[in-house]
Amino acid sequence: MQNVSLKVEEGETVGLIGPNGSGKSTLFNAISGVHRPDSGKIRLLGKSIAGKSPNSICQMGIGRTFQIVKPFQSLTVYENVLVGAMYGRGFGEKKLEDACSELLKFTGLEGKKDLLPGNLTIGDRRRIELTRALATNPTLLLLDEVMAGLNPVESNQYLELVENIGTRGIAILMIEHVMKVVMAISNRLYVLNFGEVIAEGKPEEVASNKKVISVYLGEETNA
Amino acid sequence: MDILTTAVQAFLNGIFEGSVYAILGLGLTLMFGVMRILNLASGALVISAAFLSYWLLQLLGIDPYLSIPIVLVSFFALGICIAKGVVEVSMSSPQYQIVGTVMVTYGLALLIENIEVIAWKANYRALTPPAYLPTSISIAGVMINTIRLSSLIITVAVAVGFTFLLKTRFGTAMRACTQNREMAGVMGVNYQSISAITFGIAAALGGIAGVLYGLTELVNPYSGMMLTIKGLTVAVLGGLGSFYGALLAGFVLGLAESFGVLFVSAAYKDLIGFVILIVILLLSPGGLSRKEFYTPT
Amino acid sequence: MRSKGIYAHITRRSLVVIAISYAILATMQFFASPSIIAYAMLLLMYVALSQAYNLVSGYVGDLSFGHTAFFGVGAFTVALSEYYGFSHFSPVNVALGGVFAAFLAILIGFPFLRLKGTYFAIGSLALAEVMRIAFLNSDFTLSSRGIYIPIIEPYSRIPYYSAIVGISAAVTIIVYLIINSRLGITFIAIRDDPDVARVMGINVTLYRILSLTMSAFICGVVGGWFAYYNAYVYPNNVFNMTLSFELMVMTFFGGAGTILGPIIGAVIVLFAEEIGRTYILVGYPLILAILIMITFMFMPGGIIGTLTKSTPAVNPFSRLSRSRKGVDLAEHTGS
Repeated sequence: MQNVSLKVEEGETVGLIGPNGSGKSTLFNAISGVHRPDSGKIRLLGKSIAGKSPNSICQMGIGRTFQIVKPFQSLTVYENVLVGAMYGRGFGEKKLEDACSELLKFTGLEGKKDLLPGNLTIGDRRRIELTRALATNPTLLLLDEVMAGLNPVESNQYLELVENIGTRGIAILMIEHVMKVVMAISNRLYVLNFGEVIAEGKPEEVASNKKVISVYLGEETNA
Repeated sequence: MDILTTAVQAFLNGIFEGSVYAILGLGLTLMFGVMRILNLASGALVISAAFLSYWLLQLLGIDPYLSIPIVLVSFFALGICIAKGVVEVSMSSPQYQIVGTVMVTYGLALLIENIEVIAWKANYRALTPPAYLPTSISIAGVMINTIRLSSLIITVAVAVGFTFLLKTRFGTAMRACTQNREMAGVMGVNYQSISAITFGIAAALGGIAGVLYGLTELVNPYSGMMLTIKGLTVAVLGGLGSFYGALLAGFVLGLAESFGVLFVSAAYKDLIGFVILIVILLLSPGGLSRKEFYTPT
Repeated sequence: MRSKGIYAHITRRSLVVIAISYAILATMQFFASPSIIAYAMLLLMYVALSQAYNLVSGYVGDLSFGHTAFFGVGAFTVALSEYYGFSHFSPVNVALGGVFAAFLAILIGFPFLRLKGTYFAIGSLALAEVMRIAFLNSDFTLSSRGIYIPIIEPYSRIPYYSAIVGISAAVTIIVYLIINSRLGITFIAIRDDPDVARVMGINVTLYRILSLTMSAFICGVVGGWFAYYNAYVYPNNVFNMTLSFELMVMTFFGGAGTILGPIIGAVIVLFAEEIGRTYILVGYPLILAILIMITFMFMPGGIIGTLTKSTPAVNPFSRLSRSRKGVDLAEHTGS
């Protein structure tokens, strides 16, 4: 990755798209502290976070989900979310249990809170991850392809969910391949290719960008 | 003058003992490179080879050096059996884990150890060197123990042989597996077979090391663990992936031990290897591949 | 196995069983034969040790090959304290043993617990051996002569027995409480996926050190008790690789990551050892070796894990399973 410069304003929903292998997940890993960047700056709300450990970055307010869902397999749904609540930014005065219950209601998992992730569908497991990330009370949420592989009904539910999250004031940076989604809810888009930003701007602008079209030609079926 | 002699002696001792460690480390690195497991039974296998040679001598009167080919072949076969029987089984269990395989090899080590204790008691045995060799010869005015010299020669032979092996089709396939297992599979390499054969080779190498070790040291069934840890030290020191690094590291350990005992009492000799291992593990980011050892941050 | 979710009924049932067992054991000392008492004491000791081991290797997932180091430190603390006249026949010594062991854990925790599974395992093995050799050759610890601890006359088993019953019960209760607390959830999260745990804000290394320290304290205390009970402390005895291995087998064969597992494991392994010692004499660890191989080849969940396995996803060792490149978050196809 090189020469990547991007910005997410407070409360914005920003989409990150690009062909396979363009470096999107790598970017996420750099932001969330999994990999240390060789050069450059990463700042959250003005504070530098490059080079910090993943857990401190989380406590500073960045939450994320993973492309391949990784809920904690030996913990129930509720406990998964509780982990996020315990070690994230916290909710101030509010009791963690209340915060978790609220979030589980918000994402629709309340009925399944005592089940183990292994017993649930992939859609539900995605929701566990999402709830867990939300439980860290992030200011910026990194969503990694949460829409992939969902049927239309689930897709729409998720769309609503993500929009609701945005309404709560949480900034979102989402990697997506499902164009319909990312076009619909992003305030702005960045297009990545071979580790470089090749376009940015409002969804309509990017969609008509010649470079972007050529990069995607033949690769994506637009929904 | 005295210091010089001592130093030279220590140097030579280090090189000679190191040669055994070098072969041992090479075997471990091989197994790790291809199968990504640390075989904690390697020391036990080495000692078993020493015992095999011992009994061949005692019961059949076979010269230890002549027993090497026998050991080579039988341990190659044994290695393949272990790879197929034990390692593959544990790797294919529904909840596969690499650490579990380590446990299995540890169990195997104790299994071998204890079977030998039951069979042959825990007495120390010595592999008597053949009578036709003079005990020591004089080279450039320094007395050199011929047996130890022979182990160096044999180690060099092994290293040379290994270099040729790497150039063969099999060797290339092996190297492919150490780099990237999946890619190798795509290229038509049968990972299972290569693994098994590699294990066999590593075991055979351990066999040679065993005979050489038996010729110079007293062995008993419990000596295995100590050797395993020393082997691990060598493998880790050599970079856990670099074959020549392992060979070099073997000599380094030998030298460290032989010079070390000049400063601390002989009882602590084995300790030196352990301490080196711990130190390397702790200092890893510097010398060795960071990703292999550490989880991020 | 915790008291939440689908394992609730199992854990509570096992608690009842455990409680009853302890009650029986506690009263046994007044009427059972000396050999049974001796056996029971050993059992209780191993139960406590295995539970402590379980904390580190079963629940957090750090495979330790050198736990005997903590036991030995505890034993030697008592022995040296007695020998050098620091304090006599005092539970303070035993507690101090735990403290020193915990100290050791913290000391080695920072550098060692950053290592990945297999390397931590080897490192701990090397460390335990280093300690054994060091203690064996140091005059301060009376080298290979071992330290004798005088016994109070008249000799009675009761104080030693009651002590170990108490210690063992306390350990089980403590471990149970930990596991069902938020700390327990943290440990399990770390075991299941330390990389994800980190991203969720958990300072993984800190918690690993915490669990190792707690485990070390327990082992140190038991080691101290052992010093008094055995009245003789010798490096090859208390810094013994076989002891580490026994704990491993008991925990994993019984079922790592469960409350009942180490207990069942301890019972079975001790029994197997007895049989082994009778018929095979030297070389009885053979049985341990076979058990551990069977466990990891065919039933990694141990007895309890295999019996209560409801879904394949409930895997006590998912944390320990590493693909060749480890759990690498960047290893996605695409993006």
